[in-house]
Formats: sequence, C-alpha cells, structure tokens
Amino acid sequence: MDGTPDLPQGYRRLHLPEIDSTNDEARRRAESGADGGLVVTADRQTAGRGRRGRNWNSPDGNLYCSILVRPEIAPAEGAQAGFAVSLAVADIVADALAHALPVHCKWPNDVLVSDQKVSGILIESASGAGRSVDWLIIGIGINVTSHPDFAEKPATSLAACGVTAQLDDLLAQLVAALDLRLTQWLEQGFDSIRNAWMERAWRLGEQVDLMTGQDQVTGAFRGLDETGGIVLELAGGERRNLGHGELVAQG
Amino acid sequence: MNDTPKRAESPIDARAIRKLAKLLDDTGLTEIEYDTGDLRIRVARQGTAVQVSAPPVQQAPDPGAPPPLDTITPAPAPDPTHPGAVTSPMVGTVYLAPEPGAPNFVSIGDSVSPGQTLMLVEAMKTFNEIKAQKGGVVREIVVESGAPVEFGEVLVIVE
Repeated sequence: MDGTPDLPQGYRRLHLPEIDSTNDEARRRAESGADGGLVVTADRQTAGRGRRGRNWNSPDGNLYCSILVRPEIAPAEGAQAGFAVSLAVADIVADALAHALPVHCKWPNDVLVSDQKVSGILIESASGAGRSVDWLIIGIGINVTSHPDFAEKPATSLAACGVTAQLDDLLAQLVAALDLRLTQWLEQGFDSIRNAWMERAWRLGEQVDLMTGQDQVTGAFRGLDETGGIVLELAGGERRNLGHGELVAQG
Repeated sequence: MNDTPKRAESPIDARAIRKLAKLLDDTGLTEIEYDTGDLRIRVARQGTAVQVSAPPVQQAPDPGAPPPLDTITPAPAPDPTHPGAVTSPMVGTVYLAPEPGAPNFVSIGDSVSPGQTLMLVEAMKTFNEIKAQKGGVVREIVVESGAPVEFGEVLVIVE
C-alpha cells in the first residue's frame, strides 16, 4: 500500500506500515488538533481493537483505516453515524462482489456477506464543554485476503468470496462512499440514512432474538426507530424499541 | 425564565414555554432554544440558584464570603444543577474503564484537568468519551460501569 489513492476532496491519507491501532493514531492526531478528513491506514495493526477491547486480528493483506471527522453534531447524534458508515461499507463490498452475493447490514453496525461478517466498525467520539462532539473517529476493518475462524461468529473475506481487490482502490472507493453517506446523513438527516439502511437490513421482517445481557427479547424485526434503536414486534403485538443487544437470527 | 418571541405579532405559546421549562428541569440543561421559523422561544436558568424539587443540602453561601474549600459533603441525590456535575449528553451505557480489566479512567480524589477523559458512554456501539469541562478533584462517581444512563443524568462530580 505505497500508492496514493485518489481520495475525495477534503481527505488526506497518512499511511503507516505498522501501528498499534489506526483508531488510536487518529485519536492522538485529533487530540493534537488535526483537521477533519484525516485518513489513517496501516498495513497491519499490533493492537487492533473491536468493541470493549476485543482484539481485531490484523495481519497484512486486509484493510485497516480510521477516518477523523469533525461534524457539528451533538454527542447523542453520534450513535447515528454507525448506520451511515455500515451502509458505505456495504455499498463498496456489494460493488466489489459485483452484486453476486447478498450483502446485508446487521443491527447495529456489522456488514455481512452471505450471513458472514466481512467488516468491523468501531466509532469513537469525544465531548466536553462544546455543544457538538470534539471529534468523531470512524474505524473500519475489511477482510480482504483473510478472515478469522470463529465457530460461533462466522466470518468471511473478499478473497473467500472469490474477489481479488487492490487495497488502494478499495480505500479510495471506501472513502468516497463514506463521504457520500456522511453527507447524506448530515444534510438530509438520519431518516434518509435510516430508510436506506432498512433496505439492506439483515433479517428485517423476520423473527429474531435480541440478547441483552441477562435478557432475551424475541420478536419480529420491524425496523429502526428515530434514534437507531431496533423495533421488535412481540408475540402479543406489542412493539418494543431497544437500544442495545446482540441480534441473533432464529433457526 | 425568559421568553423571547422574535416577532411582536407572534402569539406567545404559554403551553410551549411551560413544556420547555419542564424539559429544562427534567434534563438539567441550563438553556433550551426552540425555533419554529417565525417564533423563537428561549428558556434559560438565571444563575445557579434555581429552585429544584429536592431541598437544598448545602447552606446557601454568604455572597461576601469565599466558598468553603474542604467540606466534602456527599450529596444524597445527584443534582444536575450542582456546579461540578458532569451530566450525560446521551442515552446509553456507561463504562468507567477503557476496556474490561483496565483501570478506571478516574477515581474519587483524583485531580483532573480540563479535557481529561472521565468515562465512556456507548450507544449503538458508538463510544463517546466524556471529558472534564474544567479542572478539579473527582468528588463523587455517581454511576456504575455497565449501567444504563439517561440524557442529563449526573455521571460524576468534579469540583
């Protein structure tokens, strides 16, 4: 990854052969005052992270990038970003696969190819005295040449789907798609993203389980609410809006 | 409270103002502005001495005297109008440490500087760092790691 891919206007790339985590590097740069539009990429990460410190295995050959943006949004609105980001990832993955395989967005922010996880997204932000977030960092990993083997959480890669992708090309496509989706979100509002996301939603209309720690809620997946929460219709017809949990398909 | 209609001919919507005033109390915000295009209503607290539903726990300081420095009186109920209260800007799940097993961002008695991360609030897998708006000493950590928090809920008191 030594080339300079064509990024949309307003974005600039910082490429590192090796880094602890592209999110951590982007965060350090953000705290030192870097402007929005910084795209940090690395060939490999030595401490790639997922949610709550979960390891994100980061060997050479896959895409690891973190994009620093500084949108004028309240911290509560930051939670909507994940839907715009997962849509952008789904957009470019579907293109890379020439739409030959089903690509879905799984609530809240996973991207699946044929029910298998192809990408991980970790979004971090910070808020202090101001009304809007200080910064928002969008971390994206895409399995390009390899994927981890988890029995309980099946994963895949573009290569496993029969596609050879150049990392620089993929990065350029990703940043362009992300820029479009972020603009759609910030200019047209979350409703616009919500509707587009629901068209790609995994198991929409089907019976699902939502595992929320000690609890399990079973119902038909009816959509997203205006905050990004999942709407489940329970057996008795009651609708419940839930903000967290692990979505599991039935059967 | 202030109501400031932008245009003289606009009817003042008392119901809307009452609703906003209630929202102000419910959320612990200091100011709410509502703009419909031809009418703008701004509701704000005057200073910090506002009436809250709970009785005051500290004696009102004599305006001429310097504030007491070393009286640590733990508040019986978290009060969002407490000058040192850091409130949650969002609904979500709070985490006191960056990841499970790691030390907490801050502990009671720690001195913190402005901009220092105090905790995380997660919603839809987006993690927002809550930063200290001003420096001081962590007097009270009101929430537990992994607990759900509401918008405007007091997280920590720094003074």
